[in-house]
Amino acid sequence: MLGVSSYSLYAQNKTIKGKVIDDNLNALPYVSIAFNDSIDVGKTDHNGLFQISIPATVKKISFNTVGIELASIELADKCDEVEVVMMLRCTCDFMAPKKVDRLRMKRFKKLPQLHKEAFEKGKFKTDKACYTQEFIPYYSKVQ
Amino acid sequence: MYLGNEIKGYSYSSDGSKNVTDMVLGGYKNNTLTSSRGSVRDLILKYGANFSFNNILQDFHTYPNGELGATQSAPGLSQAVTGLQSDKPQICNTTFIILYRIQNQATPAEYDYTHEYIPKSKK
Repeated sequence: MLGVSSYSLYAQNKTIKGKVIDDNLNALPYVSIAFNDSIDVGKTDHNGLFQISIPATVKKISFNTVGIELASIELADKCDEVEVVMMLRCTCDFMAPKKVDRLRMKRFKKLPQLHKEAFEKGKFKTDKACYTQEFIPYYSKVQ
Repeated sequence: MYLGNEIKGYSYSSDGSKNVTDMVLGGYKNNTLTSSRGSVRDLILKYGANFSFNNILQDFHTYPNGELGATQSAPGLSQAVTGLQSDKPQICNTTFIILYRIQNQATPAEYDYTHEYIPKSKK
């Protein structure tokens, strides 16, 4: 069963569907999906699949769940099949903050490669994302 | 068995009581002595529609080297506390602990760092 929701306050909506996996290529169930950082529009189902309805003007949506780094993406025009690879969060408590972000960035840069790998293994329908994903540094204040 | 790796996991109560019915560990193949990863995916897959984030009792990870790192000495720079800030709103009944090694002691010590959580409205 897909996690379906509608946002009826807005006159013109668009439907986005897709799948969320982690960086071990495992489907991620119960991932919360939101726009404007706080307006929940749905969750993934047990197979990591989702279908949401959002205002046509919305470009940015985010994906969040326990133990995984938040993924914030910006949709391109005509991007209605959204497949996302989320990174498991590292505890990494004994590293300098700058080093933690360097390692995170290194993994972040591998996401397109993982997306392609997921496609080749039949887990994704697309071989590349139709959106851009923002890297969110944890320690921008101290860098 | 001594893995030589940090591990991360969760304890869960399927009936919503304080009794632990499940422990789930993240894969540790790519972990190191000082880093680990893990999610609640396996619990969700096991319990399906009956799964509840409210029933996660503990979010834990181990520090095999016996030190508490930034979580204790500089929480503002701690990755464990960053995870706490992100996850606590979703698993509000959960306590966040570090299991750390004590020399010549069979069982690990526990450090509960749940108190480091700062709600967004107070930031």
